[in-house]
Amino acid sequence: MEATRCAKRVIKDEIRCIKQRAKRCIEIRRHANELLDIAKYLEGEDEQVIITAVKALHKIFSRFLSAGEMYLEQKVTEDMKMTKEEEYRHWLQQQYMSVIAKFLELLESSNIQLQEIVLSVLMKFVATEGNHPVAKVPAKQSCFPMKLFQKILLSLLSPNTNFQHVLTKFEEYFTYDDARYFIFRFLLSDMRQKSKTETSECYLSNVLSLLEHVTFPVTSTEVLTNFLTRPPEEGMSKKLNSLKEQKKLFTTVWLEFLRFKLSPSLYKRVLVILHDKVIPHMTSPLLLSDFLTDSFNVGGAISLLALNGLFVLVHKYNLEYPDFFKKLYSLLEPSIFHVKYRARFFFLTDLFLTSTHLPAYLVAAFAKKISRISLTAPPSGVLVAIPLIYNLINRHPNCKSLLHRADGCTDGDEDPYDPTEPDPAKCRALESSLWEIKTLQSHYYHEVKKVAHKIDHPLHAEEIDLSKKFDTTIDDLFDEEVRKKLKTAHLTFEPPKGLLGTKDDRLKLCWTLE
Amino acid sequence: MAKKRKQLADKIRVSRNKRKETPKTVNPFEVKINHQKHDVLGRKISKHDKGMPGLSRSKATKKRKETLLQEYENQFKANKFVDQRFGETDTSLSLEDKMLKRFAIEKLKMADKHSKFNLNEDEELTHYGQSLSQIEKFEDPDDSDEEDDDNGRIGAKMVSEEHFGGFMTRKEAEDARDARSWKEKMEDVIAKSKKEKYDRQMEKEKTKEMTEKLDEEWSSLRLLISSLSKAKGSKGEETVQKKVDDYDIAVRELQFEMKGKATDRMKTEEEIAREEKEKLEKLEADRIRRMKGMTEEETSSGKHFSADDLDDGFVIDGADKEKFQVSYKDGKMVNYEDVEAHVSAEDKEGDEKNDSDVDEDDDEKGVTEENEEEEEEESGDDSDNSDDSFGDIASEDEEAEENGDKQEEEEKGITISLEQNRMSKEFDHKTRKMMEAAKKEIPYTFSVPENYEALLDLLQENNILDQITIMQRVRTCHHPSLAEGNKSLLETFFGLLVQYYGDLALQKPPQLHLMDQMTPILYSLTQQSPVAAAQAVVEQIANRQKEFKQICDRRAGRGMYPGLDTLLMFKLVSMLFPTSDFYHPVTTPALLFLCQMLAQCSISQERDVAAGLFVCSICLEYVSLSKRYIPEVVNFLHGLLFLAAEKDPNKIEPVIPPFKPVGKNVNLLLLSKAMSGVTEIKKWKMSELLSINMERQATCNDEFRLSAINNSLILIREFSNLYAELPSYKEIFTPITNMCKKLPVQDFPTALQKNLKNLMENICANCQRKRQFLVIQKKKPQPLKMYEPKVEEVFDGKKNRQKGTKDFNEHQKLVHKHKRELKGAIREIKKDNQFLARQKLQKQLLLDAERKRKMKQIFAMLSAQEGDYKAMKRRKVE
Repeated sequence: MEATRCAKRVIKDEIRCIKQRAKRCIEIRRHANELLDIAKYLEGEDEQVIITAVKALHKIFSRFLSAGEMYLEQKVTEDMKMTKEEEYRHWLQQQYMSVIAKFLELLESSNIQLQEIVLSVLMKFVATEGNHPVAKVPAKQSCFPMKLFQKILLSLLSPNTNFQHVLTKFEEYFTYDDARYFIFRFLLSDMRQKSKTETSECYLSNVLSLLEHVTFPVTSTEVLTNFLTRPPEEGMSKKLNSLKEQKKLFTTVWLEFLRFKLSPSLYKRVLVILHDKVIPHMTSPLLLSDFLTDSFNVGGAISLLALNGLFVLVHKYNLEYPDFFKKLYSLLEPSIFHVKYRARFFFLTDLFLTSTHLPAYLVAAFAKKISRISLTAPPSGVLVAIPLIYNLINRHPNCKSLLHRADGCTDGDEDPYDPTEPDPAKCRALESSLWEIKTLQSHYYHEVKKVAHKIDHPLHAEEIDLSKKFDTTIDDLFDEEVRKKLKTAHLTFEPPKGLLGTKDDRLKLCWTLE
Repeated sequence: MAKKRKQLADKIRVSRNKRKETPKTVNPFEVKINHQKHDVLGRKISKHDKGMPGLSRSKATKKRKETLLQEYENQFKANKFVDQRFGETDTSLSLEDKMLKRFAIEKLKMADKHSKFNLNEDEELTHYGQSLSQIEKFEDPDDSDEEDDDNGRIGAKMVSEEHFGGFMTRKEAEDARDARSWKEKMEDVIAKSKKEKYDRQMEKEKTKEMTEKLDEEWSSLRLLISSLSKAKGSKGEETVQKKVDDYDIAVRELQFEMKGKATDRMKTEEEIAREEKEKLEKLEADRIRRMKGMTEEETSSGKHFSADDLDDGFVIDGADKEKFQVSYKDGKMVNYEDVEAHVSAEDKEGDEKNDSDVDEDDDEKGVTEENEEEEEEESGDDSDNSDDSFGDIASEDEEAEENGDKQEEEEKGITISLEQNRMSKEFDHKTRKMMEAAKKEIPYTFSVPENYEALLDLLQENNILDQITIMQRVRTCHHPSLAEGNKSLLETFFGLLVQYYGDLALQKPPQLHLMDQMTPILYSLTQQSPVAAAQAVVEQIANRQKEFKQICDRRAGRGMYPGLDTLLMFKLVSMLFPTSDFYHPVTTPALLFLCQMLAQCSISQERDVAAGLFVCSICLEYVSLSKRYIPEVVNFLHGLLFLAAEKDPNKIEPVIPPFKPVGKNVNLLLLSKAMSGVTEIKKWKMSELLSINMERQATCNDEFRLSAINNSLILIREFSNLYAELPSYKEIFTPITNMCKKLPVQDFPTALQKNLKNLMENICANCQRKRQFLVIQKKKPQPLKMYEPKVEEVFDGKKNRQKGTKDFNEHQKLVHKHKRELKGAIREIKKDNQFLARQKLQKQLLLDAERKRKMKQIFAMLSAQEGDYKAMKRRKVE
C-alpha cells in the first residue's frame, strides 16, 4: 500500500520534472542538453512516464523543426569543417535520429495506447519534416521525408508482430494523397523483395491490414490536392497528384500481394473485402479474375466468398464465366446451413437466380437441391430456403411442375432426381416433386410448418422479401419466442408420478434415474 | 356566446311558461299531417306524423328575436342602459297605475327610514336588570329525546309560574325575599321538570303493570267462562268433529307433509381447502402443544397457570398436583417432577397423611421410584434435568435390586402419596414420549419463503420425505381461496421451487429422487396458476439459453452441452406442459433450444455423446405424439453412427456439422476390441454421465461405446417408427442405413447385432412406400349465391347492432350521437344566419324607405318653392 503510494508520488515527480525540462529546453538554447535526460525516460518502466516523455520530445523537436534549427545546407562529412552553429545543428539531428530509433522500438510495445501515441507522434514528425526539411531538397523532388516514412512503415510491417490495431489508426493518413502514394510505392518495392512462398503470416497480415484501410477521395477531378506535406512545385511529380496513377499503383500493389501464398484466414479476409474495397478502385479489375476463379475452385467457405467478387466481375466488368451456375450448384451442400457465411451465400444465390432468362431445368435443379439440403437444416436456414424456392418457382412458371403435376395419378415410386449428379442439366430435377417441403410440413418449429404449408395452395404471385431473413439465427428465433407475451398457457392433464412416470415418457428407453 | 344565449333562452322560456297557462287551441289549418301509406304491424309510430310548421316557425322566430337579435343589436356596444323605473317595461299597466305604484313604493321607502328624532328607538327593554333579548335566548328548552305523548312540553302551570321569572303570578314580596341567582333558578326549573318527567314515567309503568295484571285475571276468568260455554255446547261440537271426512284429512296430511328434505349441500372447493387448512392448523396446534408436553385431557380440564402467576394460595394437594404446567427456567424446560420434588420435600409431612391408608406394596414401589429419581437428580446437573428426565423409564429392573436398600428409608417415616405419584409418573412418561415425537415432527404450517435463501433455509436440513411434506404443506396452507394474496405467493413459491429443482441436479451427487418426488407438487402448483408458472419456466429456460449463447460466442459458434439441471428442466417442461401443441409458449422455445444444442454443441468427449443422446431422448418425448420432424436429431444420430463406424481413410464421409469428417475425435465411439461376449447392455445412469465435471477416464471404455451405440440404435428405431409416414422418409434415413453398414458388426454382442438387423430391415421396408407426385389442392368451387330469405330464429323487430365488443358498441353509439348533434347544430346556425340576414334586409329597407320619404319631402318642398318663385317672377313680368 505504502509502496504503491510512494511509487505514484515518484511517477508524479518524474512527470513534472520532464515537463519542466522540456520547457527549459525549448526556451533556452543553453539547456539543449536536457534532451538527453528526457530521452532517458523513454527506457523507463512506467507507461505514464514514457508517454509524457514522448509528448515532451515531440514538442521539442517539432518546435526545432518548424523553427528551422536543424536545417543543414550540405551533407555532413567526416573531414568537413563546421562552425559552432553547424555543429550544434548536426548534434541536434543526431539526437533526432536516435530519438526516432527509440520511438520505433516503442512501437512494438504491448500497450496499445502507447503504440498509438508513438505512431501519431512519428507521423506528426513526418508532417513537420515535410514542411520544414532538415536538408536541402532538390527543387524537382517532393519534400516528403522518405527516409523517416520508410523507417516507420518498415517497423510497422514487421514479420514478427501483428500491428492490426495500430494499423487501423493509419486509416486517417490515407486521406492524404502523398502519404497514400508513398505507402503504395514502399509496399510495392518491399513486397517485390520478399519471397512469394515463405513469407511470415504476420507480415502479410500487417500488409493486409494496411491495404484494408486504403481510401480514395470521392472526387470527380483527376488532380489531387490534399497533401500531408508541402506539395511539390508545379509539374514536378505528376504521379503524385494524379488519381489515375495512384489507382494504377494500387492495382499493382494488390496483384503483387495476391501472389503471396495466403493462409486460409488471410484468404478469407481478402475475399471478404475484395468486392467492396478493392475492385471498385482498380484500373482493370479483370486482372483479378484468375485469382477469383482459382479461389472459387478451392471449395468450401473460400468458394463462397469468392462468389461475391466473381459476381461483381461478371455483373459489371463483363467477365465470361461459363460454368458459373454449375459451380454454384455444386456449392449447395448440407453444411452450407451451418457455415458462418450462410447469409452472404443465400443473399448471392438469390441475386444470381433473379434473372428470368435462366433455363427451367437449372432453376428446377436449384430448387430441388435446396429443398433436399434443407431436410437437414436448422429452422433458421429452412426459413430462408423455402421462401427462396417459392420465389424461384414464381419467377419460372415452368418449374411449377415441381409443386403440381396435373397428371398426379402417376406413381412417383422412385425420386427421379439424382442428388449426386454434379451437372444441373442432367439431374432430372424437373421430373421430380418437392416432397421435402411436404415433409417439412411436419417440422417441429411452427413457423417452418406455416411456410411449408403454402405449397398446398397456389403460390402468391408476389415475391417474398428475404432480406430480413438472411441474418436470422436460431438464437433470434428463440428470443422471438421468449419475447412473446404470455396470455394463456395450456397444461398437461395427467399428473406425473415422477420424473420418469408420465405416460409418454421416452427417457426410460436409455436412462435410469440414478 | 352560445352559452350566454342559451341562458337567456332558458330564462325566457321559464318566464313565459309561468305567464300563460291557457289551454291551447289548435287551428286545424295550421296542422300538417304526414299520412302513412301502409300501416305496418310492429313498427314504431313515427314522431313526425303530425306537425304545425307555421307555429313552430313563428316560435323559432320569436325566440331568435328575443335572443339572437338582442345580441346582434348589442354587438359592439360597451355598456347598456337599464331602465329600472318601476313598471316601465310592463305594458299591462296604465300610466296612472304606474304612477300610483311608484308613489306607494316611495312612501314605503320613507316609512322604513329611521327618524332622527325618534328617541325611544334605541332603548333596551329589561327585566330584572337583564336584557329581554338575552332572556329570550333560553326560552323553550327543547327536550327532543322525550318520547312521551306530550312531547316533553312543560305543563302550562309551570310555564306560567316559572317562565319569565313568574312575573305574572308571584307576589312582589316573595321576589324580594328570593335572592337566588338566575342560574340557580333555571336549574331549579330544570330539576322540577325532570322530576315531573320521572313521575310521569312511573305512572305510566304503573298503569302498564295494572293492565297486565288485569289481562291475566281476565284470561283466567275467561277460561272459566269458556269452560262454562263448552259445557253448554259440547254435544254440538262432537257432531261437528265427526263430520270431518277423509278428504279433509288427506288435505291436511298433504299440507303438513314435508316437502323435500333439505340435505347438506356439496362443499365448494374453497370450503374443502379451508377445512384442509383448518385441519392442518389444528394438527399444528396439537403438535406444538404436544411438543410443549401437554395432553388433550390437560388442556380440556386443566386450568392454565400463567408464568407470572404468583399463586398465593399455593397448596399442593392431590388435585392440584396434576395441574402443573410446563414452565421454563433459564431457557430450559423445567420438568414437573423437579418442582414436585422440591415442593414435596417441604410439605411431605402434612400432605401425605391424607392418604396414609394405602397398601404396603404400592408404598414400597412408590418410595423406590421417588428415591431413584432423587438419586438421578443428585447425580445429574441441575440445568440439564430435562434431558435426564427423558432418559430411561425402563430402569424398572433396577428397582428390585434397590428395594432392599430403600427399606430403611421407609422406616424413617418418609411417606408419600403413592397413588398420585404413580399416576404422575405414568403421565410423565406419556408426555415425554410425545414430546420427543413432536420434536422430530415437521411443523404443519409454513409461511411462503420470499427468496431463494429462505427456501433453502426451510428445506435444506430435512431429508427427502420431509422436504416433500414441507412443500406440500406450504401449498395447502396457502391455497388461493384462503386469502387474497395467496395466489401470488404460491407463484413466487413455484418460481423458487423450479430454481431449487435445477440446483438439486447440480448437487453432488444429484438429488434425483427428490427431484423425482417434487414433480407432483410442481405439477399441482402449475395447475393452480398456469400463466405465472409458464412465465417462471420460460424465464429459467431463457436464462440458460443466454448462458449457452455466451459460451457459443466465446467458442466461435460451437457450444457445450449444459449441465444436468438444464437437461432435466426440459424433462420438467414436458411433464407440466403439453408438447404436442402446434405452438406453446413454453414447449416451443424449449424444443428450439434443445435442437440448437444438438446443432451447435461440438462432440469432443464421451459426455457430449451421453448428453446428446439424452437430448435426443427428450426430443423423442416431445414429438412422440405429434410426430414432428426434427432434422437435428437425425443429423446427430447419424453423426454418432459415423463416430462408431469403421472409416475408409481415403474417403471423406459427408457428415453434417457439428460433426467433422476428419479430426482427432472421429473414432470416439469405435470399439477398440471385440465386445461380442457382452450379454447385457445396461441403461445409463443420469448422475454418472451427465454432470459437467465428470472424469473422462470412467467412460472412456468399450462398454460405454457399446451402450452409446445401443442407445442410438434404439432412438433411431423409435424415430424411424415416428417418421414412417413422411414422404421424404427415404432421403432422411438412407444416410443412416449407409452408416449402419459400416459399423463393426462382428464386434457387437449378438443381441445388438440382431437389433441392428431388425432396424435395417424395418427402414428398408419403410423406404418401399410409394409416393404420389405433389398436387396443389383444388380450389373449392365457389358456391352459387343463394336468394333465400335470411331467417332469424328470434326476431325482435329491430336490427341487432350489438354485434361488436362492448367498447366498439359504445364508440359507435358516440359516433352516431356526435353526427346527429353536428347536423342539428349546423341546421341551427344556418337558420340563425338566415334570420339575421332577414333582419338586416328589413332594417335596410326601412332606412331606404325613410330616406325616400325624406327625399320626396324635400323635393316637394323645393318644387313648391320653385313654383312659388316662378309664379312670382311671372307675376313681376306681368
